[in-house]
Amino acid sequence: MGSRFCHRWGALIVTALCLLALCPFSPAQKRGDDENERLLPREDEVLYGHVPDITVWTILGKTQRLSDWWQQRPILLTFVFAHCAGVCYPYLNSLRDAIRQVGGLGDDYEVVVLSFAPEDAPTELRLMAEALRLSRDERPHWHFGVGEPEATERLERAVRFWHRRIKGTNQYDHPAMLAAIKDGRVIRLLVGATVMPVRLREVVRELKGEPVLAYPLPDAQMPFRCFRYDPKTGTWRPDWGLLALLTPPLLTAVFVLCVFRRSGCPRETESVRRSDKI
Amino acid sequence: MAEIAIPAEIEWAPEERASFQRLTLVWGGTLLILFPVLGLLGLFMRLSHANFFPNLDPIWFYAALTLHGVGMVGLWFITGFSGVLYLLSRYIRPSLAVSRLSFALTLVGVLLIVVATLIGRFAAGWYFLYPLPYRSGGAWANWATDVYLIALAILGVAWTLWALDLLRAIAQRYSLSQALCWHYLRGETQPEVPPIILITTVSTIASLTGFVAAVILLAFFAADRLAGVFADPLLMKNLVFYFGHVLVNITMYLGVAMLYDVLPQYVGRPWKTTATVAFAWNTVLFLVLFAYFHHLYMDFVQPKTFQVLGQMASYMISVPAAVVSILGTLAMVYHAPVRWTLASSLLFAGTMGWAIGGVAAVVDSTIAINFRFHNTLWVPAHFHTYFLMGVVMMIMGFLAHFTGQLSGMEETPKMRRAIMALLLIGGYGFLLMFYIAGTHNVPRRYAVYPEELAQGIFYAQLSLPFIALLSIGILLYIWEVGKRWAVAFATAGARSS
Repeated sequence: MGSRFCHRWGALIVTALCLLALCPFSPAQKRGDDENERLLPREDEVLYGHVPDITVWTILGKTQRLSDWWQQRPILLTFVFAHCAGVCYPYLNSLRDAIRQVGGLGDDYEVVVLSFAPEDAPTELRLMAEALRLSRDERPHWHFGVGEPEATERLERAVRFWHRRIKGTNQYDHPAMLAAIKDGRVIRLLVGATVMPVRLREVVRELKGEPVLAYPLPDAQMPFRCFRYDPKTGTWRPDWGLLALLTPPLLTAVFVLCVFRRSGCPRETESVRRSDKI
Repeated sequence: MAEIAIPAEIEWAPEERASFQRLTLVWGGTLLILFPVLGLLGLFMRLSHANFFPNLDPIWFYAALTLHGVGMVGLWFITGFSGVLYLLSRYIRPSLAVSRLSFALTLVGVLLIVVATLIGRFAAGWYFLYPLPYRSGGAWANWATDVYLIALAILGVAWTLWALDLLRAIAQRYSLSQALCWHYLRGETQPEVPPIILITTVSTIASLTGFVAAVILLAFFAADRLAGVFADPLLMKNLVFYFGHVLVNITMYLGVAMLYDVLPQYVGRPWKTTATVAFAWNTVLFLVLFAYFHHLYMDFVQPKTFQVLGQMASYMISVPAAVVSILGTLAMVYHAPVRWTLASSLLFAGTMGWAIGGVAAVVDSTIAINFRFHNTLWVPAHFHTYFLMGVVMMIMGFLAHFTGQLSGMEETPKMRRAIMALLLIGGYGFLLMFYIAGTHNVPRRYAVYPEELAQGIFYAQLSLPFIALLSIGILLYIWEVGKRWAVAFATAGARSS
């Protein structure tokens, strides 16, 4: 009786574990993953696309067009809303910190923070800007504002940003993202709640027209590399793979010497010095 | 022109000579067939740039790019090599059997490349940069890469055997120092070594280094494919351009070797080896091994020393070979009673094309400029100039000379002028569109230009009338030389049997 009880429980546990193990691969889960994938704006869908030149009311009481900024220098555009209880404030703090590390604000780019919430007024955004505690030097290059709801939506679509009101609250669901815009075109998208300085540096370099360098780091599974790079010291040293580049001339030299030694040309033609000939 | 005494053991029996002529004609016939076919692929790509096939799967553009690139380089290398071999047969005795084997293996290799690209849709470019060939993302199957790499291996074996046999034949008559004309550098003039021996020795040694690099490259590919051992992409890129750059350079030098040997026959002045010529070509042997670094300027992990070395070698290599040969050609025809035929005209125009393309190449090999021109249409502009308007014309000139000599057929000046005018106007017009688009930073290797690159479409459309003229010129050349070829082939066949 006891063993049958144990057996039944054992079968139940095994079945439960199997179901649990299968869970991540269930169609529902997969559907959810796909949906999440779709929720993140994809850079490749918008790269080099035009963005609409919308009118913005800034927190300084001015009316400006986006092109007024991008005609002077590239812009880093992001969307927030003033009453955000989620990602907006930490995201802006992260962006501010990353910009401080990377530099170039005002020289290489301006930052434009737009509210996507139709109910946000410039005065509310002003409070948001103040909460960011920008320095006196930084403030002229951070532009907070709101646009016409329809125009803002067109702009959102152009950079694949989206927002959705959460029922029964004053909150919105939306991604945290930054669009780098140069001459009215999307050059890069950075998606994620934390702005990594290393990624932002790439974006800034790209805006400046400088190449963004990328190369796989040394891998233990790669037996022959040309060079080893030490990221701590920034120095490189030759590696075994370099021998592969020296082999062709060395091996050819051996071949050639062998061929000429084996064939042994006739030596009846003695060299004659020009002076002797004269 | 003073003849160089030929030892008895190098003399050919009449049947042997006829067989050699016939084999050279077979290579020439292959050229007359494959050149327009591969040229059509080029036309297809330019039509694609001109937006004629907006809905065509881009994979066909890249497959055509691969076949056109590898096909053209291989075709002109083998015809250049066979032509030089024939010219050298006056001084040395290469093996007919090895030449026949090379021809058979080359045909197999070409067939496999056609299968890989047109059936397997292998489209990684002739340079097949690692790791793309086996990681195509479903664009082509791995078997297509296998076939392509096997084809390259077969071609590599064929051409290595050919090169080694040529060196053996040279070594039968000359010591290494004589073949490289080091005695001229010491102020000695005997034994007299024709420039074609010097240039061919330098070219063959350099080409062997390229073939060894290709063997190492293929071994790394095999290790990845069979054992999953990942290779260093930087090392692979170094190896592929070591091989590729050397092969293209050597093809040009084979054309120049023909120039040194054939042009004097139309000018009536000898082109002798001198200390300057010897120094120039020995320098080439050294520098050609380093010039390829200019293909890797964008690879920032390559140490700066190599990049600087690449620029210096690219600058310096143009001085000895190009300047000596180009100034030599100009000096040779200056105030000379030149017999302008299709052959001599093509050889002369080819030398000038080499000079123009060489200047454009040196411009692009400058790091600061390459930073702007890299992978723009400036690149195909310059390499088509020194290839199509350079070495291709030289080899076409040789074939016209060779078939003309064997057939004894006369040419009409009208036809010669028509062919030359069409080739020059069509060729340079076609290239000018590449150059202008390149200076506007229109990128290369685009199957279809998007709206943002509409300039690329415009210049491609402008180039089409010039391509038409060039194509007519090539067809007229094939018609003219094809007639001579048919008579020469029949004559050589009758003699060898």
